[in-house]
Amino acid sequence: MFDVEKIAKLARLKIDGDEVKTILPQLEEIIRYVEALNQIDTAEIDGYTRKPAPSGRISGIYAIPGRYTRKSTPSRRISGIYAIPGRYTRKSSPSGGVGASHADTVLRADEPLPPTDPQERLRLAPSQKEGMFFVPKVIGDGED
Amino acid sequence: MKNLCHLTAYEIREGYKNRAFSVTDIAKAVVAQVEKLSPKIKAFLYFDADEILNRARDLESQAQRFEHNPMFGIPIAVKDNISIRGIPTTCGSRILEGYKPVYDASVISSLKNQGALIIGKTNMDEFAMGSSTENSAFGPTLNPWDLERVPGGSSGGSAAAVASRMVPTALGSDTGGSIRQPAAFTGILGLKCTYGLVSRYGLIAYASSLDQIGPMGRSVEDLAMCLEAISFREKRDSTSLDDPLGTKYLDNFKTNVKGLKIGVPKEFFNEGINPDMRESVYQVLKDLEALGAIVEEFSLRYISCSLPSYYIIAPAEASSNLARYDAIRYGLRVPGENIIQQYENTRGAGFGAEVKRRILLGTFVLSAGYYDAYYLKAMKVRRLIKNELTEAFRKYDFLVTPTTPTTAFKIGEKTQNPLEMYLSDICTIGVNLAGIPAISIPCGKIDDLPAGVQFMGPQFSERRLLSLSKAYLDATGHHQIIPSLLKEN
Amino acid sequence: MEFELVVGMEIHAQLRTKTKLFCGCLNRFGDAPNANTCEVCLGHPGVLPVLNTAVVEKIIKAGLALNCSIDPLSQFARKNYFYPDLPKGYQISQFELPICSGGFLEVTDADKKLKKIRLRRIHIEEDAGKLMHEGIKDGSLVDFNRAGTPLMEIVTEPDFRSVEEVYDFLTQLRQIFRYLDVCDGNMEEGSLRCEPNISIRPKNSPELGVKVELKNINSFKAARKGIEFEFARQSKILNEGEKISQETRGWDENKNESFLMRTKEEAHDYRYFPDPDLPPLRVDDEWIEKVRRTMEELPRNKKERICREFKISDNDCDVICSEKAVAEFYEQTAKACGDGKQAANWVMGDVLRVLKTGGAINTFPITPSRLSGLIKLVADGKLSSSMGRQVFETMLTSSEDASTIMLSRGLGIVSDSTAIMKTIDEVISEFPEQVQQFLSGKDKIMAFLIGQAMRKMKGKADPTVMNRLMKERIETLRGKT
Repeated sequence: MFDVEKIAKLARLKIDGDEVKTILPQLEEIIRYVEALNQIDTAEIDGYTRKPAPSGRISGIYAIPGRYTRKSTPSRRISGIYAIPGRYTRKSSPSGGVGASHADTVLRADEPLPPTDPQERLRLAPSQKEGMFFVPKVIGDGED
Repeated sequence: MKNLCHLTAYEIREGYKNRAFSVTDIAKAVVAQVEKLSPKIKAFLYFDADEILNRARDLESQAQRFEHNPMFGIPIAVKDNISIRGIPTTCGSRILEGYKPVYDASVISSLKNQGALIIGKTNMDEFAMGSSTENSAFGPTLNPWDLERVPGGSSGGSAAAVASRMVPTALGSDTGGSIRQPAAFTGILGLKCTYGLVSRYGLIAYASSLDQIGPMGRSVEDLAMCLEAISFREKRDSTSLDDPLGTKYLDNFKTNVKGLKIGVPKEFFNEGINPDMRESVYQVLKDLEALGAIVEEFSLRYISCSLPSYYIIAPAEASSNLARYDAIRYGLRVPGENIIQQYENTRGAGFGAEVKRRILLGTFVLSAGYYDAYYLKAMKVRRLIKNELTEAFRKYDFLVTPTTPTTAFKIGEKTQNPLEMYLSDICTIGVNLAGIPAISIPCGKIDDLPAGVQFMGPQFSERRLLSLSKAYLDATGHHQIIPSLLKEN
Repeated sequence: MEFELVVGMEIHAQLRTKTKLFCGCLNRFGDAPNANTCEVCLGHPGVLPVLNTAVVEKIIKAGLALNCSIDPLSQFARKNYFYPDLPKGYQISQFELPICSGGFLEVTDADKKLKKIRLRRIHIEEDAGKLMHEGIKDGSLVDFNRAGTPLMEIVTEPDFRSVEEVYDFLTQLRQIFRYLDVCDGNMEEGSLRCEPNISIRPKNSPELGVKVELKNINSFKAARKGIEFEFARQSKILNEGEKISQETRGWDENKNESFLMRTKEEAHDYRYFPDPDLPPLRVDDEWIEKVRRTMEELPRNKKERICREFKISDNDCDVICSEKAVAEFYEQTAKACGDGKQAANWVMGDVLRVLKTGGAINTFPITPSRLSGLIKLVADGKLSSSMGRQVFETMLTSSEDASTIMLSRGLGIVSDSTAIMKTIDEVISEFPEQVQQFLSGKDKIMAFLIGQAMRKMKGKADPTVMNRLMKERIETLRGKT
């Protein structure tokens, strides 16, 4: 099941033959262990899969129960993993934002920071030329 | 005069106020202690005595400026995954050997601005992945209580530095128990705060939704002093939060335990936990009852899912966070004929076995065809765990559990089987998944090795956790234990 | 067999903000390599992203202009892959929950009918750095100035059926973006990039064919050529009984053909997951309303309003409104001089003529208020149109207003009867033959005589007065002969 070589390629990790022999059973054991989660019924948490949202509709984990349009503001609480709490006070516990954070949208003003000397950062480069970072022959292409 | 190294941060602060000694005196004592014990304990990856003494002198000359800062002149060691500008930061890894950050982590800026005396960078499991500090690329740190045992991990260096009285306080980081478990193994206190209370800007990321920086020390007051200096809303960290009650922790202890409701989840007291450890914690519960608390057993149905859930989520986030180590902008470079070879060679040589395991695991659980069954499932279970804990805190003020299933294990004892190593985090991990705060404090000894008890509270209950800890430790004195290694020192 | 072209588009637009998407570095082109970088956009260990509010505003604007639903809750996701221009080894984008969904733009199809091109989504993402290969031995150089700059990605449904529709769509999109100050819309410079997804199917077939993604399109022309080439290539394959493979192909502008870049099997597995460093993006109705109320006028609205307010023709309006800066120049001029038609003539005829030789409208040497002064002089009859043009030319290099120039050079219209009559008499004495011809019935000679008089007066005579007086004088002559 676990194709170490394929995953290692995805992760750009070099794993030689001996390492594979050791690592593969360890990984398989861990995977068997974590598969215990399959026994847990998580139906009460809204489900979603990794498909781009169909036009105009939010589904799944971030689902806001009830219909909403550009006009209406959802008035009911959002459920699911990424639930944004409604207003919370010292008494009520928020039900959680992203992961463990309860932070709501954080925004920064569009104001530039004072300029700094790029040399400071270039100095860290394992290899640089003409003020740029040097890399060996690039094969393959960038993102789609 | 008592060896200055045995003073707590609070006592040092009092000493400065009374002019009993100077910052330089303290700095010299620290340097002497580190130089004496380092060869045995190996807590530090970076330690520069001259820098420390110079800084101490500078601080002294500016004492006026820091009059109101509790952390002025207080020695604090920093785990090597927290960036300090211009100082080597390795994360315990070869891939960052020689790397010197161009910026200070927020907590470091804050400590510097408050006149703290930063003492070097401490050893850790590589990229915070581990529970023993044996995964450090630079060799393990040893437990001051028994040099053949691990100090715990991943903040083992910080724990050992505090326990061996090299420094009164240290910063660690906690993703699944990495502050609390080493604190328990070395007989000191360690606090993992509410997720978001301490800025992660400058903390080299392992698992972003779980990581938190936190203080380690030998007294509740010391933790409070440290926490005051490092908890604030940070604009460079989008997950950073404000404590709605403000950030004064030090003079805010309410040690009346009467009527407090303590929940005891029975899942933390089953056969997975060493019987002596269970006994120790039962004793803690009795002590709390004697102080007036109401103790009640209950069940947390989903808590046993913490470990499997964590070992999907954390490696997944880590596999993404560690993709930046690619030999282009900083860090190790092992050349190759082309870019792909350079990536593979560098990452193959630069990362240790545990890091590779977690990257592979993480890449796997996010990959096409497996995402839903693993990552998504784990996130849903995480939600169940969190909801359940939130429910529990409607009924109970605190939950009390052992911090670890056993006392410190021997070096090499669990390195053959990764899963066995993971199981040592079984008591601490749920806390990170839920983003709630938890503290580990000493609760006595088992066969001459320290045992730790864990108090958990709801979000933003740091003040109350510290108060409860203070009440318990004032009554029992367990925080005053000293490793025999130091009795001669 | 006859095939139908089916195209969907993926468009990336660089947003015009001062700073990058997640850090305070300048979002600016043309500076020294790596000058606009910091530890955040370079992906140093320990850094974290913080969202730029201006980016959200610009996307809301674009979404409103394109009739999208602005979703109150959207989420950032990590798109993981390795490439040297991608500092963190992942791009922060939006996947399951984009900020805008739905929407449409109306285009004119090949039969000159209006049709809707539906949008699927618009989302926010960061750009990567730039790789330089030219002339570098054994490797490449990376400049991260562009890394972390904000992009808007627009995905359409596969609604296009002809290159005309695509062209119209891109033209309108560019215009809307420039009007809203959201993006420069310059494909050659890379601020607007498009990737058509092209497939074909037998006419009247309901199923979609296998799609091919075409990259490296750097101009509207290339988009057209690329799509046409692909249509031909795919038609040939199907006609030969073969199957089309789902591929990513690149457009070669020199050879005018597409080449294989990546097969479906080699497609990346991006392992998308929600970015734990960024809370969900909440956009409430209040924010959307505020943007709607304060956003710039859309091209179609400006055009409709200008046409109506200043009563000029549809075609004239098209020309004037094709660039917002020109439309604004026109509007200011028209308001100041009070004559929309005249303002249109002068702007289209003279201002745009000069601009063709170089320069930009916002640095045009004649401001709308100075131009309107000139227009008023002509409209009020104080300056003839030909003299007006002379004044215009002078105004290009002088900062004086039209009236001053007219007076100082004596270019104004002469209405003085005595002066005109004097010239008329001169003409009559110089051209006795033509006078006779007129008196004997050749009415058209009047124009010649007037023309000569005008020439003598250097075109400055008031034509109405000239006409009247010429007639008068000649009639008196009629009496005498």
